[in-house]
Amino acid sequence: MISIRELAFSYRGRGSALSSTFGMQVAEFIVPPGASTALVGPSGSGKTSLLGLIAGTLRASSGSIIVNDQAISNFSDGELGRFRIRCIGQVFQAFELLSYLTVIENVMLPWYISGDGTKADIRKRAADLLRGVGLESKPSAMPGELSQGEQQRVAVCRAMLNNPPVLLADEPTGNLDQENKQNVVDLLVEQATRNSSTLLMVTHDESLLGKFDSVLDMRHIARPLDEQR
Amino acid sequence: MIILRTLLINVVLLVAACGGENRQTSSDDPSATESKNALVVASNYPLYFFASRIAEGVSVAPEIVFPDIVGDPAFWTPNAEQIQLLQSADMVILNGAGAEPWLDLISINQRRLLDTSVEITNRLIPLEGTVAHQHGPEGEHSHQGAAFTTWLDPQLAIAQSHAVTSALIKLAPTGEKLFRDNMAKLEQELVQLDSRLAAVFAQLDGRPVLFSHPVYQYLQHHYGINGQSVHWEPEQEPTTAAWIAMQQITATHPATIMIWEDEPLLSTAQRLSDAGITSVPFHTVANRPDRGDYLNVMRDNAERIESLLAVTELTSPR
Amino acid sequence: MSGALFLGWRYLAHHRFKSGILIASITLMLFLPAATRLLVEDSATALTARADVTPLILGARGSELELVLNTLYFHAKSPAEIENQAFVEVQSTGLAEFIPIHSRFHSQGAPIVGTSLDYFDFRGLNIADGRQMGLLGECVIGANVAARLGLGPGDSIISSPETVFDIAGVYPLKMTIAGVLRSAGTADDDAVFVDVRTSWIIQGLGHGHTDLAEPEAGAAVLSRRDNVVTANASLTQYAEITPENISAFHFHGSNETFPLTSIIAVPPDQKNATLLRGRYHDNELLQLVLPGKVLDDLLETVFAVQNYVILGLAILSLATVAVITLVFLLSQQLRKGEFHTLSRIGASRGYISMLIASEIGFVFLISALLAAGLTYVTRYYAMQILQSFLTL
Repeated sequence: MISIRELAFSYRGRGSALSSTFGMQVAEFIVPPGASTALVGPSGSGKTSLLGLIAGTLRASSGSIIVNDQAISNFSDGELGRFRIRCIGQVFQAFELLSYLTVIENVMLPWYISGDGTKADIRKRAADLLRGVGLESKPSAMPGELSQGEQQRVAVCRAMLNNPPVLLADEPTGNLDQENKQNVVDLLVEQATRNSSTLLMVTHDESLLGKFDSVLDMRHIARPLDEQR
Repeated sequence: MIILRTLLINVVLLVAACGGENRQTSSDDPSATESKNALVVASNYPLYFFASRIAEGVSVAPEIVFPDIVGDPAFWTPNAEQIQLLQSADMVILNGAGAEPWLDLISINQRRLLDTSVEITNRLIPLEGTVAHQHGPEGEHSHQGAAFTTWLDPQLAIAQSHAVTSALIKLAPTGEKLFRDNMAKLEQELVQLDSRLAAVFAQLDGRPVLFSHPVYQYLQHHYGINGQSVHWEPEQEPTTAAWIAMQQITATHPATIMIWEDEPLLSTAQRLSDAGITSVPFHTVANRPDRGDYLNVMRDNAERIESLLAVTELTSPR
Repeated sequence: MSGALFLGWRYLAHHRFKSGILIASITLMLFLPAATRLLVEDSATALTARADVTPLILGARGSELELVLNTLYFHAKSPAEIENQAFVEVQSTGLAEFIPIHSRFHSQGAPIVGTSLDYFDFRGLNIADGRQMGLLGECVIGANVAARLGLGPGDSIISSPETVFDIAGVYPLKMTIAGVLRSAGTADDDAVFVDVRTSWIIQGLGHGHTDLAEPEAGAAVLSRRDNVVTANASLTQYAEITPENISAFHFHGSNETFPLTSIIAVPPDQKNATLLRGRYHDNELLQLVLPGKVLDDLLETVFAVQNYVILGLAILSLATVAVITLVFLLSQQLRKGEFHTLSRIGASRGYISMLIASEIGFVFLISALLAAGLTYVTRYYAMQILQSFLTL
């Protein structure tokens, strides 16, 4: 489950002559466990920031964020890192595979970071995940040898390696063609369902909204905070 | 972890290898380290005899060797094996006085050479009548020097033997007393030989004598023998020119005895006898005799002369 | 943290070209000063080793360095000569063992060194194949000469004329190889050794021809008068000394005027050495030098140059380090996105620092290992390298 209450978040932009600050307030935001939810809204409405706050890569100024029964607002950086490894699976728009690792090594990347579990077990888990997405014949391929759809599937497998209770996807289909979009979203929903994970996916593509349990509009979740000097 | 482990092992191995010395090895000396008696080579038979007598019965004495030389050692050119023997010797005993012209032809450690004539240099007799030649700006030169049959004079032989004794003592100091004892005995025998030869040649009483070859200079000088030399080989018939030359000599030097290095041909001896000249061998014993040793041969020489003088009626005036 | 090491290693392995250049640069940066120092020190050691075991050298007054180098390494093309009289005189002092050296001629690029058998004992040279030289005209050759020319015992080698047009002077002498020396790792490996009298024969001071006293001399005789025989120009001189004609070889004039290029003196103790040095201190024609001291002076200059070279390399290394640092910084800049991804997945700052450090560490570790390996190989082959360039 994801629960956010009375959250205030502001972010000062860098590199601009006129330092602009982005901010938002969230009174209440709750995603039930196991639900697959699409998050929509105009650009700059805070969708990516919300995912970042849930993942712990961004810190709120105030309010509480509870993810998988853990109040992460007070976590230290180290605790947040461990929290993300264990509890959050993330899929990014630009896939963000490491070009110098093979397919299976990319899937195992969370293990290379945490070191939890034996290599043999993790490798087997990764191989199973790849089989599940139809990439069982390409464990030793390099990301550059894969199509975009294949790369994103590898990214999904990476996100699922540790059976995360929460799966966050920030426009994962943004760089894909129509067919692959459908496939990737189906894959995400399927993996979340199989794992009983809570799926929260940011998307601009209305053709994909029907695949989710619910669709939330950011404009109804958060109010922006604009401050200009 | 495996990578780290592998790298660490490689680092350890390389550091160990870097620490090891790997210099090129220098040449090893193959010579044996166990002690053994020294090796002494004599350049002629008389020296071999003297050295052997001085070293006789002395356990620490060097091994005395005389190479297998065919003919006169003074005209010997050592072959490769003999050169190696000479090079490997701890000492090579030389007669000196030009008796070893082969020294100019071979490579040998100079400090291992013992010239037994060094102390008697002032008693060496220069050779006469050498053939000189010239072919260039250097002018005339010849290839002979002093007479070298020093051992025919027992007194010179004693001096040479003393040099040998000193050398053997240097090589085996612990045998000094025995070397000196042996030398004393040898000296006594050489003195007796000298007296015997002096008595024998005294009987000549200045009468002229011919020598078949100019190798008796020391005998002649030491015993005051009135002699002149021709160049006759015992095993060859003298040429007509040689006979004529001999007769020219005897015209003013009426010898009735010719002393030969070896038994002459019967025909030569007969012809000489017809001319009133009796032939008698006096072996120079430069090389190893078929029978006996240096002293035996020299005593036989003396006896032969003595017998000849006893039976031959000398009619030539002084 | 081993995961960071793994990722670091994989990054380097994947970017081989960049990693290779970095490793090569750092390897050279580490290896060059080490190799320079190693080669200089080894060459100094080799030079001084040979000089230090050569107590004293007597030669013509003049350049001490040239005298020493020619005696130790047989280098000089036209060495200053002294008379054999000097050898006879100094030998008569009994103050040391004396070894004559006449090193003036060459054969197929190898110096011909005329000396005595004492030289071999002095240098600890032993025969590996064949035997020691026996008769004049024989030679023994160094191991490198044998290998280079493919020669062995029983073969022949001919001395080279000093100039092409020197038809009336030094003429080629065919010498039989009696033996090949065991490799000593010194200049002796590259030399041809003959008896000093053989080198005088090469110089034309001795020769062999038909005995003019014999009637067979025939047409070569210009005149016979009393006991003097004069030969004409048709007299054929032997170009090779054989056991059959060796008796015909002889020298003209007193050998005390014959030349040597130097004399090695091996005194038994310091007292004798001092006495010897005193004898020649004010000699106008001869000088007695300590080879070790002469080469020490030379090496002072060499070490000074080495220091400048190493200083230059150090400055270059600083520049290299600066460039390498820039490369690493640019690389980190380019990988910002990758580090952000890792952070988002859950990597801590410490993990990412470890990742960067492992890449740098691997590069330096591999470079250090390569540099150490190259230095080890250089050390192993140092003498061959030095010999090929310096002919030590």
